[in-house]
Amino acid sequence: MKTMIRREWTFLNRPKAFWITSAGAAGVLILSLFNWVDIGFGVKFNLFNVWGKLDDSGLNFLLGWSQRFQNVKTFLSALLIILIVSFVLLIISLIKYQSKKRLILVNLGFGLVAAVPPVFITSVLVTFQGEGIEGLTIFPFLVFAVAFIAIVLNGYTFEILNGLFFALFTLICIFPFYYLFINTISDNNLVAVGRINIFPQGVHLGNYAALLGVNEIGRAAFISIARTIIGTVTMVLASAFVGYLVTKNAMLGRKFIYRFIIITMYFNAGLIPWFVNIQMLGLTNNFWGYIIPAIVQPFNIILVKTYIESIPKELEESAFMDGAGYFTTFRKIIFPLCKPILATISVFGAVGHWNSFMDSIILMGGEPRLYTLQHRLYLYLRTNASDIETRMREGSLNMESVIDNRVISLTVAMATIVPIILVYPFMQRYFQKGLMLGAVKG
Amino acid sequence: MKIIMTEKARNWAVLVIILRVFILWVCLAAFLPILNPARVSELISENYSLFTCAVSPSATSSHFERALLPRNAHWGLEQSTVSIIYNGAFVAGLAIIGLGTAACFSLGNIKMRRFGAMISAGSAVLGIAGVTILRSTYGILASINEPERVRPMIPGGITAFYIMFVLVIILSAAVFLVLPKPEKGTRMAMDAKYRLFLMMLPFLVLVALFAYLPLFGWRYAFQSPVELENSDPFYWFKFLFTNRGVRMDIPRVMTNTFAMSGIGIATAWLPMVFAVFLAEMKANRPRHVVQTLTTIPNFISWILVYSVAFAIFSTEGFFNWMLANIGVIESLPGPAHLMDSRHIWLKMWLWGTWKGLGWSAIIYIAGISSIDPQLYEAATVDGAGRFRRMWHITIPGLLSTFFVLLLLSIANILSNGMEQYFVFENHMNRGTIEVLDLYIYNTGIGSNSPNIPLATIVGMFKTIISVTLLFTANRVSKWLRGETIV
Repeated sequence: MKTMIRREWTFLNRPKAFWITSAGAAGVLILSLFNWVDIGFGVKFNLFNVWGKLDDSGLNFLLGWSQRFQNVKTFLSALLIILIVSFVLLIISLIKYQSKKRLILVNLGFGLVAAVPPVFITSVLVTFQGEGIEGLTIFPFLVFAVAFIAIVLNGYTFEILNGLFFALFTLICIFPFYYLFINTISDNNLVAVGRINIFPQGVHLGNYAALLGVNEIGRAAFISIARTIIGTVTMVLASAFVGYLVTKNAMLGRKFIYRFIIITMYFNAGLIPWFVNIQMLGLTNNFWGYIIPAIVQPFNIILVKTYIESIPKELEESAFMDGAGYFTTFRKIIFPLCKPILATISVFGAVGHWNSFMDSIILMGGEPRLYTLQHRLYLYLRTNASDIETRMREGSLNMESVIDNRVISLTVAMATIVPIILVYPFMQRYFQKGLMLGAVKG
Repeated sequence: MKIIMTEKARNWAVLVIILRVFILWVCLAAFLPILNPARVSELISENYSLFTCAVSPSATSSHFERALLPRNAHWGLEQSTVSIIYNGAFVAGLAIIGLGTAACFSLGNIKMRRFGAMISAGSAVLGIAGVTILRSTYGILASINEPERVRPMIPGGITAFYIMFVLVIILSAAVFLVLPKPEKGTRMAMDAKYRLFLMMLPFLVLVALFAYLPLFGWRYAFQSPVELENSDPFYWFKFLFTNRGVRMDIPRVMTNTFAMSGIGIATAWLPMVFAVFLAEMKANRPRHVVQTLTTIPNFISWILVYSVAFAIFSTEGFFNWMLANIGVIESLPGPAHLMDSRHIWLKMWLWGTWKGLGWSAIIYIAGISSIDPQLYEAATVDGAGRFRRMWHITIPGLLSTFFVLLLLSIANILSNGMEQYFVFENHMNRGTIEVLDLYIYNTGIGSNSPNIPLATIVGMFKTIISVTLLFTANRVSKWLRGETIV
């Protein structure tokens, strides 16, 4: 015998329905920022417009910035966008944790749904009366108010503040890259007058195409890539081999040799003697000046040595039994087993090589063909800065050249950052592992 | 696998050792500028060793650049003469490498030792040839139209290397003769300890070349200026304390250094607090997202940070756009903020924090995850709230890591690193941004009239003080926590 249980249709037991409501409302909210949505009555959903229709005098008085109120509204709009992004991040952070959280979402959903009638009513009013669009401003605030009250009521004040802080800090960490990016793909004339701040406009890839045409940048990229690959490979092989050798008790003066290498981590002769020394060895203005001094890295040797010591001795001994020499044992047994730690140090090594620019500036001064990408970028930024300085002092700021320099520098910067950002998420665990291994010692 | 030696061979082993040590000295001599046999003209820098002349043709020829100019053709110097100097040095350099190889061979069994003795004798002959080539260039240089222009000379190194090479030949011959001929079928072999050592040797040479040899460069600190009548090794030391300009610079630079390191040390707790609060974010995915995104800035170079700063704080940048919007400035373009010399210490700290906070927090995040969850449960049962748990469980669990890092940063108080300040430096803010490292660079390399001795002295003091501080920190750590940090 079956009993039919009729569930009441509520948001509580139909999370899907309520998801759709929230997503739809959020979509409208986001789209409204773009001035894209025409709701059919000749009214556009646009936060900026809404703010523009506000009565100036009241807030003017409140904020005390007379004559400048137009700007205040734009700024508040930008603030609102940041708030919304942080808020979305926060909400995501609360989902899927406890059933209590679902309650918040329900409240949020209700808030969104509750926001629809006033919006609809005002838009109808606008259609017939032509004004009174201020009502639209209720929309985002209502959502916030309802959701915030729900969260506070459920005892999530700490979570919301904490989440907001981290959301904001994360935004501060990545916004500059986004800003750089939209400035390189937007219309150069708009970029030059500082009009590209939140969204790209006039998207084009001309700047990147132009980079391909600049010989010296191609050359610099080649040098950067070459030094990263060769430098990393030699460093990793050397670290692995030396790390293996220093575990061999049979070696003449093993302890002394290990200390001889490791102690160099804690002192250096100073920049000038180092430079003169490299010059004396004939490595200035020479590609190998990037590679050879960086082959032996004591810290990485420590990491590999520690790792090898954790490998069971029997594996190696069995290889010796079969008549393998030290080198064969290293190549066939130890090296493959060390792969995890070698991955870690190679990631660090590659980033180090890609990022290093002082060596290019100090050592390769006389050979522009050997400049790395970072060095080129430095030069572009520098000419740019000094250019503006002198021109401003002379009182003749030539906009054209400034524009070109600025856009080129930003594009080169973006092109230099992209490999790291692309590689980083995949390599993150290696980075963190490396840090932890370092912490064991440090 | 022990190498079996006959009685006679063992008795004469001392001769092999003498040869080996002697070869070592010859190799070292190749790095001594004072014994450079290739310095056949006073034009060649007295700081160049035979090794430099052998590996780097440009180092040699650069000194003759002026003499080789077309307008100086009447001096009579030809390119080929300069090439001969280089080639001579190169041959001598090859000989030295040969000697080194021979020394390695002398670690093996009799067969290898005899073979090594042959190599060393051959190399010494080659070396004599090289030095003879160098000696002959003196004649060529002296016979050009205007020899006083190139100032030819016979360096003392030529005689020294002749003597050394001849001695090597005599010793090698002796070794070769006294060592008995190995039985037929004996194969070359070497003890494991020497084999391992020789595998390591190339890396030891690299370490010696790039970490120890620069110490030898401290001698520049004791060079007196050329125009001085009687040389005074402490000229630049006195200069450091008596010269008005330098006396003005040093306190300023030290203030900058201590201020910026000081702000860093005073806010060293930030990453820990960051980690503690991040751990309070219970949902996993968003926490990982925050962690990943906040560590990205750590992996871009300072030059890229500068380009980001340049984009945001330029006259038409994002920052001015915001200022214009809240009405602080009238309209774009606004002021160039990177040219502003105010609050540099604070700004540099902010950039450092932006770049490093997320990354420095990771070590604490790992620390938090290793704290026993039972502690938290027990505390909760006892009625401890969120902040009490943080204060009484999480923070004490992280303190030892914190103290190690704090001690290290105190030990590094003089080394702020120069990259950040180097890229942010401009003529407006030089006064307040120049830290010790940057000062050394600016004095020794970066200026139009580099002062190498002075920069070396400052660097020397810095190294000595840093090492002392590090060892003190190590002692303090041992005393406080019972374990060392280095």
